[in-house]
Amino acid sequence: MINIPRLTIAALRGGAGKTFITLGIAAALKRKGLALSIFKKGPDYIDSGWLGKAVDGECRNLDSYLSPPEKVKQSFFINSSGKDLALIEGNRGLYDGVDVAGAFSTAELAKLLGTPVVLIVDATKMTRTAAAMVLGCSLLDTEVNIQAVILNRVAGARHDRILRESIESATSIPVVGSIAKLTMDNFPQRHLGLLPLFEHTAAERFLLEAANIIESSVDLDKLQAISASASPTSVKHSELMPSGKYDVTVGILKDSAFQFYYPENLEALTRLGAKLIILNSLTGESLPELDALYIGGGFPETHAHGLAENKHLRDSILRAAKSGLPIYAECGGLMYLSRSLQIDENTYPMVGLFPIDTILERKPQGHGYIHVDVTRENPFYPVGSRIIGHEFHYSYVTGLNDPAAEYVFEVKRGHGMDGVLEGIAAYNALGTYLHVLALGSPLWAQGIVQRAAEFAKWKRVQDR
Amino acid sequence: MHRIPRIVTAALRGGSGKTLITVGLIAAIRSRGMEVAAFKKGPDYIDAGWLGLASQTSCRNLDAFLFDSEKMKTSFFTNAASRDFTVIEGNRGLFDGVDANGSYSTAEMAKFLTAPVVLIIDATKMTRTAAALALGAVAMDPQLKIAGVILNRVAGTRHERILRDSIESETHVPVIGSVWKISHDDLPQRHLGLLPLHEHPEAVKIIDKTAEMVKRCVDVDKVLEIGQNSEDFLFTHLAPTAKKPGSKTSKGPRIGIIRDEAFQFYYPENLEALTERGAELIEFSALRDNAAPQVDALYIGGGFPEVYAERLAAAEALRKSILTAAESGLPIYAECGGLMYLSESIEMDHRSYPMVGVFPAKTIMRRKPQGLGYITVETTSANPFFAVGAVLSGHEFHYSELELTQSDVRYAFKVLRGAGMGRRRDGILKYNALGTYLHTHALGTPIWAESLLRRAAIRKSENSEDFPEILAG
Repeated sequence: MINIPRLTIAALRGGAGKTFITLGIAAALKRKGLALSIFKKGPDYIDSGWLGKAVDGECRNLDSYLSPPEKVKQSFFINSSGKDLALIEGNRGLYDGVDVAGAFSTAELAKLLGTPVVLIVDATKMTRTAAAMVLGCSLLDTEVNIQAVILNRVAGARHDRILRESIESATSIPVVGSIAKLTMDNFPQRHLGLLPLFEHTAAERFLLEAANIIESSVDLDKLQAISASASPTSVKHSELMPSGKYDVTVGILKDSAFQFYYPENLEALTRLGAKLIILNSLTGESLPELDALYIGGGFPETHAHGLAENKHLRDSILRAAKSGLPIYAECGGLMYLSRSLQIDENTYPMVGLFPIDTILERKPQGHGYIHVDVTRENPFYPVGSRIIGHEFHYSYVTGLNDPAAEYVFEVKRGHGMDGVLEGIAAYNALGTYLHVLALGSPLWAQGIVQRAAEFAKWKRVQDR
Repeated sequence: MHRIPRIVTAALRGGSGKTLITVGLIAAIRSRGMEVAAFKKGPDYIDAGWLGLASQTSCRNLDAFLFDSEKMKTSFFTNAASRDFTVIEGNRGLFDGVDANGSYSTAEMAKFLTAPVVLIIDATKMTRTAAALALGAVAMDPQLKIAGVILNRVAGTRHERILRDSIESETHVPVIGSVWKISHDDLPQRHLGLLPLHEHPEAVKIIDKTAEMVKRCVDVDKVLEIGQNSEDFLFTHLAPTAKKPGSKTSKGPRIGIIRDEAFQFYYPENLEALTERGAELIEFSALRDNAAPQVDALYIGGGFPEVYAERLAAAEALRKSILTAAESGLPIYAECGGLMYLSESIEMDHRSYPMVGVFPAKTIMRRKPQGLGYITVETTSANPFFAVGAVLSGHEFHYSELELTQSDVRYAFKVLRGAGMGRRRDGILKYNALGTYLHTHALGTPIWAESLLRRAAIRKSENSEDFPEILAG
């Protein structure tokens, strides 16, 4: 049996101020001297970036859709071992899942991990009806252990009093915090969830301010006491991810343009023996000696000019690809490897490895979980396998009908490139809108290191 | 026992799209050839304007805080009994009242009028959690009858299915409508609660579009069925109040009403209270008329003088004529926008617009409301209208505040609840004029109409003494 003080921070809907409050709680508890582990429910990279920053560590994503529940549980407890408190930020509304039964919801995750739930209620334009909402949440699933309410966007002392009294009398769930509307107005909160961490120069100050606000408006001692009320649970003892002895070097483009990497993905590669080399797409001049290259997602669109300017690196990547370097590119990486990126009136030349062009739109072109079947030979996945991941892209690709383009996936759920086609392949490169979480897709890291090893071997043969 | 098919539309919070859907619902029902009575819960003028336009009748406000529940019941019965269907739009969140018990909430009103509730749920960024919210609303007060749910701002088919199935399976309340986010695209709903567009020629088009949207997205038959299944309405007829003898025959005082785009906040009950007591109402415009008509008293309601500040300022002749009348002792009762108009100027965006100048104060526009909610005042100084000691309750909602230009200013009221003019004061006085941020509802404050009438009658008799020949002739 294993136990750790733990909390899930949930809300009634997206946009209720959950990330901000979780950040503030994390930063304030850290300031109290607590060692925290921190997690984000669901596949989001941006919130995770912030949460990791708040505790000066890695934030892990917990997603039972993308990885088996037992792995989620293991990841949670293994990564919390030795910590004083484990904090999970939920996503969307507490009971929102992928279906009518709320499968894979934040509530289900809290039940899986046995964590008490702190419910954030956005009190905008509402007084006693908030009590009805909290009551409904406590009635919908009595196994969900809602232990506290934090009120957000409270308009004043009278509003606060009515909310508190009505919630506590209708539900007997204590209100442990109340954050004023005005305080929040001073914050670039709207950018949270929009702007990635690297672009927020004032990130440190922001976190400090968040901690100050939480300290003055939330009963942290009470929260700690609630976190400690979690019961011990049992976790299977087994390796989180497979290990191996592949002696390969994998390059990772990681900078302000490409920053969406689950820590598990990088760990999955290193556990298999890969040595990782971090490269910068904006300042790097040419690729070093590599056995494979992994380009994750990010915001190539906000760095399109810089990426286009760095022609040296683009050419170097194209040459390497043509010489057979295995390249795995996700979302932003896919965009970078296309011929061009078009934003409004401007077209920026990209690497030009795939015979497609990328167009940026104002609305998401694909958002949610995505399933693909591997239908054709490709460098990384065996034909017939099913890959499950996440997509979230404002871009789409054109030129899908180009006879030179080869697609190796077929979309079974989600949108991908056009609702059907996915996984464009050229030489030993594969580009996809699908973000994979290595914890749930062991094939991914295995495919990369294996192909890298083959490429390394081939190079040695060539050299001889 | 009376059959009054009726529903209350309510939401979980303000800003859920309640007014838009209610307006569309009323218009959709009317388009079936039914006569619809419309009511707005709470003191709001703007929503009431839209509901009135949609129903082609005057929309009445129901507010148990401003006038007691029995009067509310009477008003409801009087205006609903002869109609085929009645729609009452709630306000704020369903259970939101003035205190932790939800007193005077929409839920309390629905129970008092034994009306079934159609709950509008804004489904933005939420799927199955909506079922928890609906369940909470059902469980919160078992005496309240929530008979249907209308989903608003639904993102698509899959969103709708999850919402519908989860709500119906968790609560057994049927989902009777689903308005998609995209349906809102060609509707100016942002204006609905902000600007009195119902005065605008475009308003009828907006109502038609809204009705089309509701017909497409809501099961109107089901709404009618819910209303028709409501309990019989218990109401004991009161003896009709005897009209004041002679009020029809002898000519009553003339009361001027400034009513136009700039001043349009008048509860129908207020004007009725004046005419029922024998007053003859003379309406005129602050934007188009050159002189105030010959009247015995003047009533200026609220509105948006700040929006029309330039035109009000430009109508200098009228401003002068009102000032002269005030100086000569004309009784003037001015509420909110009317008060602003009677001040020296409206100051906004670094500009100053000259106003009538009865009260020694400038009106300063602020970005945030300076007073919003119920207000209760006690009469503490002698004034033309209310006896010292009289307590009045009303509603205030103003983005402006007064900046005095003289030190010796008299106030009639001490504020017991609310903001008023600040520092617990309200009811600025000058000559026989009283200006206040408090909006009175005549049903709750009968002394208001009585005082105005009495003061007008005095003025009329003074005038007759001054100019006996003219009036005799």
